[in-house]
Amino acid sequence: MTYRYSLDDDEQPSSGVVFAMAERTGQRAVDLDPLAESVDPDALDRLFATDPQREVTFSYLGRPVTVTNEAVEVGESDVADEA
Amino acid sequence: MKQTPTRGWGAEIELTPLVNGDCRRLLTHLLDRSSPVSVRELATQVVAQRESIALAEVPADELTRARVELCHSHLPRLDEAGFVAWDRGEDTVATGEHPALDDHRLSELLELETDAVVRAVADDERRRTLEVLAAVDGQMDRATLAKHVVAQAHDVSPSEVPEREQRAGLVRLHHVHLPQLREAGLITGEDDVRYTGHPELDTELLGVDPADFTSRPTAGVQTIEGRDDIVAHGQQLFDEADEEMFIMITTDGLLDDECIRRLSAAIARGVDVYVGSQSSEVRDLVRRRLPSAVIWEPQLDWLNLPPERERVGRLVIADREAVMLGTLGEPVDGAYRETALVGSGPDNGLVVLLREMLGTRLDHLDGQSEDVLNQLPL
Repeated sequence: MTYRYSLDDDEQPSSGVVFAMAERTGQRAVDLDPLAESVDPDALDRLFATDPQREVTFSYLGRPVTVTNEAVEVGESDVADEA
Repeated sequence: MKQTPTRGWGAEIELTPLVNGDCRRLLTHLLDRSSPVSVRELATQVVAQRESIALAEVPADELTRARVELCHSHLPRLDEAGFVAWDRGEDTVATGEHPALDDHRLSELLELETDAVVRAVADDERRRTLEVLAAVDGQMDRATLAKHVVAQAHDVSPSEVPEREQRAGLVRLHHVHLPQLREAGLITGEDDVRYTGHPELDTELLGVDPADFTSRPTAGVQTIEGRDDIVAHGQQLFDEADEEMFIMITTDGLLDDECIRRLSAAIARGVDVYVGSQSSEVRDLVRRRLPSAVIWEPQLDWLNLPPERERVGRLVIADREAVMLGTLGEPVDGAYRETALVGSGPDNGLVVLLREMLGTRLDHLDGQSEDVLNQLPL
């Protein structure tokens, strides 16, 4: 099941990815592996700053993450033994 | 720690295009020229500089690639940020109106060779993070770091940072800034972070006034001025203590709610807390709010230091390895002008002095016997 996290107006996409993953996995945001190890957070935010009409998908913590200007969607883990 | 208002590069200043080495080379060349330069010449200069070859030796295919990169990536970004003015009709480039172009530190920034180091200082929150860590002698836990970084951004004291802001700052540190600073080799540590610096990076580039550093030797006794910074440093000591926290406080009002909360957290993680005060208000407060702390009433008024009539306001000793000795000046408008001496490390002069003064009596504090407590030279 895909988990959808709505971004606040003033929320950076990189921050949204972290909180979406925290809510999806039930972990605290600071306990997750750093986002910067999966994607460049500055570059991600800049993508949406230059053009909000985008959709970016990447993998973070073994899950597909899709970011738009409105929301972050976290998919099922592609690691079989993870809940 | 000294709190620094935003200096030099402001938060609004966009430095990220300079993370790219060719952008730095391009701008360096442009700054040497007084008139607009053609894109072709810029591309030739960039390749020659990057590869350390003569202009005539730049291969045609390299030149073509550099021109494409300039036109599609570097020049649009530099133009948008204001570093250059790119005239697409004439295909020439001149320096722009970016405020950093007038900053004497720009040339140092442009001389940096490692992109990761430029990336570290190109973002204002990362710069503040480095600034805080560089000013701290030793390591700092991430939560405290987040608080100080947010405090600097809003120009408030760390104790005024709302918990929500601190948490958000901590998340940004963990997910964005600390991994990048670690990768650049500027810091070490996971939960407790320490500034290691980089041979290419002068701390002046962080927006830190170099005078802050020359006046504060890194190993030795440092001075902190101003109540907010003193309280923040004291609270940091509370947070860092592992075994023992020894505190003397002369007047009430020096132990605020935040201090109590942190002491309470210290007690909860097994730290023995001792609080001495001649003020019955302070003793009552501690008895009420920190029932597990050992309380005593100092017998001697050694806290009155006659010559300048500066009085010791607070004394904090953490694990017998870190000391803060705060003095209260003459009250001005009802508030004391506070100054504190701080030192840390088992061999630090101030630490050794106070350990000697208090002597082995520290060891008997937990006996709580009136006799023992009466022997304290306090």
